[in-house]
Amino acid sequence: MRREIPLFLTFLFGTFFVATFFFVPDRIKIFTEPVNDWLSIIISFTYVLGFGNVVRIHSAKIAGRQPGWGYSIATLAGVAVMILYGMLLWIPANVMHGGAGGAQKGPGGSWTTGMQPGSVFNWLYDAVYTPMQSTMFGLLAFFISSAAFRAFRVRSFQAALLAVTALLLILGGVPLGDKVWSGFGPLTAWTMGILQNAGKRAILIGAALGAVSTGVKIILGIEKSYLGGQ
Amino acid sequence: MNRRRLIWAAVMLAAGAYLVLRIATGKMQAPVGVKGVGIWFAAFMTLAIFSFLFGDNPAYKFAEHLFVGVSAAYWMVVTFWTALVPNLFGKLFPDLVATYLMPGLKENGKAPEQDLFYLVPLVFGILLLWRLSPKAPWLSRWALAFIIGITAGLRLIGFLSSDFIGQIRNTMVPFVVLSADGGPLWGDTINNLVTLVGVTTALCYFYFSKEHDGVFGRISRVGIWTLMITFGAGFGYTVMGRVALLVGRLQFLLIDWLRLASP
Amino acid sequence: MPARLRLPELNRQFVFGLIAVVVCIPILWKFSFREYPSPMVRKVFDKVQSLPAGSKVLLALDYDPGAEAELQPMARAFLRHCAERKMKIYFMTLWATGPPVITRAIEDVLVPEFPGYRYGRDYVTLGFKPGNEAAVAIIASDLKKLFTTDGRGTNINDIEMTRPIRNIRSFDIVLSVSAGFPGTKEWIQYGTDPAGIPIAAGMTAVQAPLNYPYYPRQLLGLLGGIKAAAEYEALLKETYQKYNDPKYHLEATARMGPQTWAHLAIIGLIILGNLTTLLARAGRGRN
Repeated sequence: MRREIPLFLTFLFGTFFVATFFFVPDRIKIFTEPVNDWLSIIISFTYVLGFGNVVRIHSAKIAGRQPGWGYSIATLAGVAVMILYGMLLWIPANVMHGGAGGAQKGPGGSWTTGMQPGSVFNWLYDAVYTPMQSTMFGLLAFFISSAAFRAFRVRSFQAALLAVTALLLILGGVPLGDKVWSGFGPLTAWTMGILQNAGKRAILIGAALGAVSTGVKIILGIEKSYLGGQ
Repeated sequence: MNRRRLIWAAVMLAAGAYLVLRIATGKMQAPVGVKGVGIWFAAFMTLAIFSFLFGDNPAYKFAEHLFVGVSAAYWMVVTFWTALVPNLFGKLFPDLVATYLMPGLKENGKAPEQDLFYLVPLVFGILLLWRLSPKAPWLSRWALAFIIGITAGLRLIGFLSSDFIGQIRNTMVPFVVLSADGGPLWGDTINNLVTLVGVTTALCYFYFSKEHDGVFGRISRVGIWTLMITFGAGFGYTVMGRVALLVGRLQFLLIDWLRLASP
Repeated sequence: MPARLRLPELNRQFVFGLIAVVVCIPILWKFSFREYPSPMVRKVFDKVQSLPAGSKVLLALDYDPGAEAELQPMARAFLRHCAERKMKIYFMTLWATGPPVITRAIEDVLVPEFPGYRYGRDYVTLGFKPGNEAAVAIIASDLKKLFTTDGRGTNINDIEMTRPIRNIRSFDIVLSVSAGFPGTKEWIQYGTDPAGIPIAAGMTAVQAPLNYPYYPRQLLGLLGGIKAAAEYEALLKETYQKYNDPKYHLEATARMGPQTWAHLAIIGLIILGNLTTLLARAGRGRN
């Protein structure tokens, strides 16, 4: 029950998709459409699962007064406000107004429920999610610069190839290169389109083979690490 | 209070005084109203994340934890309204959903017909959520098996046709490219040869079932050179990407928040 | 040589400070450069330019705020071009964080600059659907199975421009702006490649090298990173004179000033790092 049924389901649906692609006529292929649709719905449940996990882990942290539990309050506060304005207040607002809840004012009068511009939900997206996520990635510019200084040393021919290409592309990534020499742009384009493309294409062919063999192993039940222990 | 903390306190005080002065002179938006509070909060969050450059600290930890909560809830809410309501509940309980939650489900004023086949994803979805239950969390594996099985099948096909066969087809190009009048086009010919040599030698390098010595070793060494160029290009482009994101954030701080320059 | 060994630790804060300064100064005192569009960018531009008015464009904005600084200028440039060509634009996203990104693009470009563009007749936002490659596969076969309503909750068959849409083949071109998975690669693998529909893409600089192998047979052309976006803006200026007016804020072009100085600083750092190694090696040789 614990392992056999999941393995059977994986085999059944995996084989179904591979078989419909290779062997069966279009009238059978149309059965893949609803199954794909089901998949997109089940993937939606994974977001609910992720949300449930975050709430569970941080609630336990607060309840057990574990180290850093104070910060978990911030996590749960963020969750509470988003859920309150995105779902808990919006569902009744919709039910009361025949599905037009998004346009209704929230209990405060000025903040609207729902996800449209002007709602609390959207405000939190703009004021918290957007700046934090973009800064996280922006932060990497500092670390990549520091890495460029400390780790980018030419110690062999291979390292020289790596460094020269990187320098060429860094300079080619701004308009200054074209100003210095008119051939700079074409050289950068050639390096990207031909030289690096050849290596990337080989990587892609290798990775595709890896993906195919992993797929076959999963479908045949040889690879079953996704089932976890017990 | 040690010296380091004293310096930081002085810097913070000076920055605070500068901000108060700019607000007082009307040179920047005060943290008042929906927009003002939003910009100030976003600026605080930006600075809190940047503070990680000086090491882990309470401001960063607070921002990080808030981010986790907001994003987990955001993803769930968006998925609920854009997928679960119209694509699942709308199929199972069309009248109810169209009347109370999403009138747009009605076409020409008529709700769609019920489709009980959608009980399948509902059951699998509930099984997936069973992972949160202390009793029999292994039931979620059934749903996981469904996701993994279809994804494995889909990917197998996608990678095989577009990446494996597709890339081989993209590489199977003529050794000599001829123009319409029959003369050789040297530029295209060289490009094709370089591509062929690069792909073949790099693939040789990835072939580990044979010792990399002799002629094969020399070929795979050329493959390493090709890969080094590829990685160098990747690094160069990564620099461009990361700097662009930093520029975006600093523009927000200097222009949108502090208003030190026009956009 | 202890001084050399301490160098990385000594300069970590210095490197951070240097990068911050070289980015901040050009933001405050605008520096800009003339762009020379590359053949790849020109190819994408020419393809969009060649499509007749009324062509149906699926504009897939598959990214989140983390990549917005890089990709929003690209999305805006595509949007401006499509609107100039009077195309019918269908927005959608495979990223849950994508809908506000679509809203921002519409509010920043279509609403102020193209007041004649009407929702439902000239553009529509289909919104977000989960499912990654499975979602693309459904769009490739039956779009309305996935999208029963648009992003605003209106029935898809009650909207003028979505009524005749069946699947991916109903579009004349797919323009994918993406930051990773799911994105351009999945559109190619499960959508445009099996259906034989042209696709051009804009993507983050990190993603660009990964997608080059699909060019030119499976991908018409690609815009990699902020530089390509600036080149696309240059082509817009060249073709449509109105964009030379500063009131049309061309974001990518404006960003190339700070971008250039930061790149120069990083090149300087790489050279400096290697010089210290060389000097240390020479010192060891003398000893």
